[in-house]
Amino acid sequence: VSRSAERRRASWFVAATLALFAVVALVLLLTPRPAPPEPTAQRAPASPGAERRGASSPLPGGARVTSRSGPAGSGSVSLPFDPHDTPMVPPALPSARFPYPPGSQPLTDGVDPAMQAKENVPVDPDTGITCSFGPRVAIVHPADPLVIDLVVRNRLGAAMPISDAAVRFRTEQADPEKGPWIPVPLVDDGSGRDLAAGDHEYTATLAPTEEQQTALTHGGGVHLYVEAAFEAPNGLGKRRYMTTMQYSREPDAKLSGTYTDQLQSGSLVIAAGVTATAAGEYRVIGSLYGGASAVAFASKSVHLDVGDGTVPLLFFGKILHDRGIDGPYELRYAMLFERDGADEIAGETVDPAYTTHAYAAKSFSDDAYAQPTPTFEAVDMNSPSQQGKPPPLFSDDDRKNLRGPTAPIRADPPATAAQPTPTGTK
Amino acid sequence: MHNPFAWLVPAAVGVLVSLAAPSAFATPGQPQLQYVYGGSAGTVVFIHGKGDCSRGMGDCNGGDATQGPAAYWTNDANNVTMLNEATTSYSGSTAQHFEAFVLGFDMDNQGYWYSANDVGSCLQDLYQGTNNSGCNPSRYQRTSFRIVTHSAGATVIDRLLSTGWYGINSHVVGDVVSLAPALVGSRAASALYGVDGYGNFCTSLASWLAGWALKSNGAQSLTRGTVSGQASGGLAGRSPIWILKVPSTGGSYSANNDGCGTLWGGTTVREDDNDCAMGVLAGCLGYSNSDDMDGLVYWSDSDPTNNTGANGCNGSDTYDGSGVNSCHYYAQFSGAYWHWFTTWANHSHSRDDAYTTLGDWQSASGCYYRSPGTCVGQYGL
Repeated sequence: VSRSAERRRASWFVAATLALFAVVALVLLLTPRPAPPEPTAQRAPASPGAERRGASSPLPGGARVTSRSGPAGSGSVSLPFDPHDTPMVPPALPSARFPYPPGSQPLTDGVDPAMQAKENVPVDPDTGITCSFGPRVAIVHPADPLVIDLVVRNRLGAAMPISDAAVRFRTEQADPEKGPWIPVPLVDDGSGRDLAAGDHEYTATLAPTEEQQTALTHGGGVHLYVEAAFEAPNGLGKRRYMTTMQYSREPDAKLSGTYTDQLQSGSLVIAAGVTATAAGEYRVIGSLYGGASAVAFASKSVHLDVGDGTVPLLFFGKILHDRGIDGPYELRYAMLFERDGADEIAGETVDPAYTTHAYAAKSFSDDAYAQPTPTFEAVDMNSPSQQGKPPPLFSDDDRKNLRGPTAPIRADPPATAAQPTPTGTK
Repeated sequence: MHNPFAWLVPAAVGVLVSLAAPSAFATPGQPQLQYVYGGSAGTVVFIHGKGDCSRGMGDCNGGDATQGPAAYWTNDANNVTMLNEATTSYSGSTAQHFEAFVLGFDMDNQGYWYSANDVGSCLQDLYQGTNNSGCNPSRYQRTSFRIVTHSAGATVIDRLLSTGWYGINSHVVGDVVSLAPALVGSRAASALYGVDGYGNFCTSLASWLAGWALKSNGAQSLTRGTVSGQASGGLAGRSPIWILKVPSTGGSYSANNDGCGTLWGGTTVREDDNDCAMGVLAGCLGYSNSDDMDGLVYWSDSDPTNNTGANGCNGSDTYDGSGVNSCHYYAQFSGAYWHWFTTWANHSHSRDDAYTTLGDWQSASGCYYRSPGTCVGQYGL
């Protein structure tokens, strides 16, 4: 009896468990999937304008897309919310002008202007192998070396060995296909500026000879194009990637190391001393820090004559007031640039550059920047000086005729996702 | 096996001599200003992306000297140009029109910094009524204008606004609208540079579809590292004028858009033959599971500090088909940037509004995200 009762209890338990699973599965199946995010805009009502112009809002043939959700490859095949055929009202535009003047902006992180982010490019999409490379310092002056670092990593981030690796440099005047180039091997043997042998992190070091310096700085422009090439791991074959860096003479002026600061019209102004050996247009940038926090960025261009001068860096009052960090402030990442024809020649980073007097954040003005009234005389299409000029390419009638469904349409050639037919049109 | 060191072989002396020698590659072309549409509501200047729409018209969306730089903004299947709807707005049933100028310049044969100089000097000619750059022989003068850009046109304008060079800032009215902006450069610029290793299929795709992203100074100056480096020096990312970003979604789905097969109910749009390849190419290069591309793997939505989730982007990389972009943060971009809305058109169609062939026309009550020009005209100017 007891064995029979145990069997009945076991059967009941199994049946109950199965029923519970069935209920859970049914609930899961019937529960609506969360809708994918919709734009923060409003859907517009049916478009009378579209109707007026003879265009129907739904897609031709009554085609309508349905909802799809889930990441690619998840197996989900339903279609997402599709605003394609629905008139929308986009989100509102900014309600006011940017509240800070040109050349003065809030900052959350300071950046050394001589540095640039490494290029990160896929080596093999299937296995997640990527390549990170770029100049160790992006602004170089003779006779400092040009150093390029390159590392190939697997999906887990481990550095991988590569072979036949090299970079080459060309000037802006050189041909993108034919060069000429200056080639340099990428090594992992601790030589040159390679930091450690055998770590699979490769480095190319070009210490230009005087002839090379001349060639590179007189090749037109201040930028060099840098190509990196290597045999990728796992027999993936050759890869080539591109980046740039700057290599030029130094500017004809230097930050002299003399600074003063004062509260001026509600803002902080740091006057950076500059000594120029040639008259010209110079620009100075700098980042203001309060303790460890970046607070504001400033940039100012001025004309300087030969000798000692100053460049006033304006850190707008509202930025400092609203940030609420009291001084003294530290000026960091200062750099001077010289305008040279179509180019701008960068100097050296000065970091840290200067520490200001103590200021209370609330001593600065919280007024937004007021755009000055234009001083020029307005000229538009109705001005007398503009009458009799050549007319536009298209007339008002063209505006009406060259429109959507009424325009002559040439059929597209058939195409498939698997093997598109090159047409050369784009 | 091919030895990459083969190109190390050339004699160093020869290299040195020839580095300073004149180059055989194309000389950058002069900019040109084209007056495309008349209007009385104001003036809009359109700034194109990667290509050569200078007077030589070397690489301008298949356009020639007859069409001029307007070709960049034109669907070559039906000659419909988005310049029309992007300069039209409705109030009730009444349309008002802005006039449209298109500025053509060379962003093939020179780095984008030189393209910016050409654009700056041409805009200076426009507000002065001069022809110093050679772009404005008719000496049109407009002292105030609005600006709409596509792709790397945003990179060019951002440089000019960030630096204040050529004095254009005080002549720009309203916000700058940037379609599929490459504000922090392009993934394509480096990733598509050497496609030998991707196999014949991807190689042929890249050489055809993305030939403009390969070996030219214009393309190579647009790597992400390069542009972010320019921003570190204050030459980008510091615009004091709002730049409204209209990034486009990507991934293999929206890159295909409606034209490629049946994913979206088989709806077709003209010029759709290119769309399939865009999606496939994105996949070849390993960017397929993300909406942070627009079919030509541009890093289109470079987001500064103010571009947070509240502005419509996601905090992490977005999955294919979600229809939104992630928030890319670059500390250098401390200027005025605003994530306006996300278009579903891919990189090509975000500048030619191909979907207007399906009836996408703005009205006083709405515009179409897949035809961003309709939103520009109705709400962006």
